[in-house]
This record gives sequence, C-alpha cells and structure tokens, in this order.
Amino acid sequence: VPTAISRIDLERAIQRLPAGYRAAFLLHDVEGLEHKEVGSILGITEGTSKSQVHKARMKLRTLLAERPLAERI
Amino acid sequence: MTDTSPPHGDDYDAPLHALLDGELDARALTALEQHLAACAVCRATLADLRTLHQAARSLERHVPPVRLWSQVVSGIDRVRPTVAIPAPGRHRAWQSLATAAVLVGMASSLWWVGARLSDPALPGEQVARTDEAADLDGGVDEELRLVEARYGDAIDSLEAILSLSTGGRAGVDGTPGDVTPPRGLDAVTVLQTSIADVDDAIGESRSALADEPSNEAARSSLIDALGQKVALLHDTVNLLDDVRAETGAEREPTP
Repeated sequence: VPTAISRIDLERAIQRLPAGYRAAFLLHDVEGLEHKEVGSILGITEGTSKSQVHKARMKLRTLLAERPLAERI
Repeated sequence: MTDTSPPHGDDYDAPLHALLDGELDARALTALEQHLAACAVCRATLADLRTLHQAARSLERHVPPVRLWSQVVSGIDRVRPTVAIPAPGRHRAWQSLATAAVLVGMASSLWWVGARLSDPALPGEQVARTDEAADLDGGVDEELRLVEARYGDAIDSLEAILSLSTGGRAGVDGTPGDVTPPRGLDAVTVLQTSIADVDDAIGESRSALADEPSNEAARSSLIDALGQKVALLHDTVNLLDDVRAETGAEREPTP
C-alpha cells in the first residue's frame, strides 16, 4: 500500500532526476501544463514530452522506494 | 511507496500513464481495467503513480497558467491595437505579436527555471554518491545553460525585431547605430546605452563564472543581467513601435 510522500522527499527525488526528465516533469506534473505546452517551452515534441514525463515518474518511483527510512525522518 | 519489482509488462507502462493523465479512450480504458483486475504488479504501479501525481500537484507552482498569459497578451493587444498599419510600418503587427510570444515563452520557462535554480539546498541532504547523483551535480550547470540558451533565443529574436524597426540603424547587438536618431528616438538611444551597460554586466558575470563555476553570486548576476537585457530590448521595441506610429500618422499622405 503506497504511503503519502512528503514534500521534502519528493523535492529531493526530483533534484536527482536527469535535467531533461526534471524539466518535463516539473512543467507537466507540478505546473500542470499540457504536453504540447511543455514541448513548446522546452523545444521538444509533444511525444518527447510524454516520454520524458513517463520516464521521470518511473524514476521517481524507484528513487522514492529506495530511500532508507532513516533518510525520510 | 511500495517497493518496485522488476518491470512487469512494459507494454502497460504507457497506458498506465495515459490513464493517470485522463488520455485513454473508452476502448483502451476497458482493456486496461481488465488487465488491472488480473495484474497485481500493474495495480501497485498505478497506485504509486497516483500517489506521486497527487504529491506533485501539491508542490508549489511557479509558472502562471498559460491561459492566464493568453489573457494578459489579449489585454496588451486591446491597450495597444496593431491594426490599420500604413505600408511602411506594416510589419508592426507581427512585431508586436512576435515580441509578446517571445516574452510569454520566456516568462513561463524562466520563471520556473529561475525559481528552481534559486531553491536553497534542503537541510540534511545525504544523497548517495551514485551515477544518478552525478546527474544532480551537473543539473544546476545544465539548467544555467538552459536559462542562457533561452535568454539567448529571446535576445536574438528581440534584436532582430529591433533591427527591422530601426531599418538597420541599430547594431545587431542592440547598440545605437551611427545615424542621428529622428525626433522622439532619444529615449531609444538611452535604452540602447543601458543595454550596452547590461552587456558589460553579462560579460563580467560570465568571466566570474569561468573562473569560479560554483560562484552563486555570479550565477545570479548573470541571470539577472540577461533578464534585464530582455526587458530593455522589449522596452526599446515598444518605444520604437510608438514612435513609428506617431511619425507614420504624421507622414500619412492625404488621399
């Protein structure tokens, strides 16, 4: 069962993303822009934006899962 | 978060993300729901993605909604109508739109990137020194390059507009040309002198960063100076538009 994610945990994990993933994820999932808008801002295609966001989410999932409990406190 | 097992059925990754984003049509949704009913791994993945998505939406937002910017641009156009342009200044309409487009794009992307760059380090950061951490180390520099690249695009665009506005009188770098400006262009000259001062600041910041890449003050100074240059170029283009509108109206031949 997934637990709630703290803001600090998420911010830390986001900072560990490769820059391209991070930019697309922040603009789409945090700022709420459409993939078309993300593509326009970052100079990438809509499809690339989707791909970057998907990979960012999966990477974040892994990063958040691997953090030892001691680091979350 | 639940532990992540080895990837299960990568074929279902894209539909899971599409479901999260509300992009699945009815047929695809039905197919995915049937799969989810039988696949615990995908159910766990979806649950984690939903938790992540919810947490992401709770983070502080830095970019004004694009639709808000559209309204702002519309408002600018209402205040400064760009219709009925006489032949010599026919390009003013696209100049205004191009300037607005440059600035909207800049505002959206740089507001966010700048905010991220200026975020202080989180306390007690204990990131493991892995290859992924190397991504983090290079991230700030890469984002600075992104900021510079995007400011550079905006500056190039505005300078091109400015060059057209002055009929080539202004230098490509936005500095004043060698032709005495007509009446009303004194302020433009002042702005262009200010641009030259900002260029000096940009050069000094870049030199400082070259000597000491981790110099936060130089990094902030460079970003500020680039932003000032964009703003000054924008003001210059707007002022030239206004001057051209006035002189164009005076010169409009009587039919």
